[in-house]
Amino acid sequence: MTATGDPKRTLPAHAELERWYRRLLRAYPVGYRRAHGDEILATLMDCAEPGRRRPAPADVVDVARGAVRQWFRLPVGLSALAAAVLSALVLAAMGAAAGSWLAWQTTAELPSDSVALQTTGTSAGSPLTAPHVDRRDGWWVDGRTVQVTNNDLRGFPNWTLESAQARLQAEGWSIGGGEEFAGTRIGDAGSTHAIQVFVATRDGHILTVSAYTPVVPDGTGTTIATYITQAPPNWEPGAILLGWLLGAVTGWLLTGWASYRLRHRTLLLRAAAVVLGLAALWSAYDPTTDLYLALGNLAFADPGVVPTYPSYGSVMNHPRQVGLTLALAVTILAVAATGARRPARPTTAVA
Amino acid sequence: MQEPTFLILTALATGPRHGYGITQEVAELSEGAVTLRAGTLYGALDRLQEQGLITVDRQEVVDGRLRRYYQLTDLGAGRLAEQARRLHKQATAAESRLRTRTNVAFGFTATTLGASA
Repeated sequence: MTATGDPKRTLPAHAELERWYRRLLRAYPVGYRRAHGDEILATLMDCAEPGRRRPAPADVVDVARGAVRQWFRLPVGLSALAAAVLSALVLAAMGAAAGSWLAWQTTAELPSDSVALQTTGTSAGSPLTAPHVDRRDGWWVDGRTVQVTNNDLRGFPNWTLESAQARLQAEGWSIGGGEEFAGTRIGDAGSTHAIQVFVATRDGHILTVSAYTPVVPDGTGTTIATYITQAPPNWEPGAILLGWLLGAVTGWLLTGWASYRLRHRTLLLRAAAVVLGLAALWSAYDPTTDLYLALGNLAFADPGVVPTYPSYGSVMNHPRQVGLTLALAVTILAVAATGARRPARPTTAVA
Repeated sequence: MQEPTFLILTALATGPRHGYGITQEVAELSEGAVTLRAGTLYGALDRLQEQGLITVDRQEVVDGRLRRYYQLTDLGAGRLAEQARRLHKQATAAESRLRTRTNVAFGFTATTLGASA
């Protein structure tokens, strides 16, 4: 131990500097570091002024910048650039969908059937006489819902919107917007109804109440149907952005890696990779464009309207295309990974 | 062609050099105006090698350190010559126009002033 008590000080300056440079060089991709690490280190050491123990800040910035360039480097030519941009866009869409899916997994679970029935009963003002529950639930479902209808065409006499909203408010629901229009009930085109729809929220759930009242009194009351969904998570946009960025970077890096590896493959393998790439692009077209359209809708939606359909649904609606795209991408990577590498040049030792 | 690339190719025009040798030569050629650091230098060398403008001549291990020597290819020499011609032409044009530039303040031209001096 030295007088200063710092064990690092026992190292000669050049050895300590070399250790720092070796640490810095870890920022480079492994393959590049294996091929050029020692050579760059020699130049860094040659350029350093005598007695220096730590790298100059300008060298740190320069090496870091060089490492980033190597990570994102593409072979010369427009085809590699086009492939990287397209791969980045497709994988970014997949990443955004994955981010959206993860965000929705943190939302409140749908209410049980009994709670949904009770809520519908509150909306109707009396217990349901012929209830039917339709539940779409599970981690794989895009847009989880529990829908309750009362299949009794006699309906509920003397039902009013105001009283239904008051009953729900008494149970802790916050009443939101609504609308009223004339139409016919689903499966009942015989008579025109006044259809009143309003939304209420509570505990991370969105309740949509639809009431169908005959315009011309025919002795039947108001028919009630409810629809409960999960409220969108507040951090979904952040998760989408993060997933998009991760996907884009992954797509770019994998394309760069595959492009360099494919340069050393036979013409037949390279042609096969191009065909597979075009097929992957074709299969990715629908889920990718749907996802970007969904993101556009999310970004430019009317702030007053609460979106209840998750963005990842636009990708999950195309399971075959997504599966085929990923399978083709894995095949291209496998084609790029196989085969012999270019032989290294012999090194001459000089005394 | 960017200035550092032009200077690297120029540095290699007289013969193979290793990384440190190239940085020294570039600094001298640019009269200290361009300082190539290792990260930038090897990024440029990789790109030039990929474009076929330079190639690895040989490798040596000196005092335990790897030195890789780079040399200009025929393609690189041709590209350098073409760029040098272009720059020379542009510099000549600039000098020519500067000579005929009217001195607004005194009503003389640079040629007249130069001749009288």
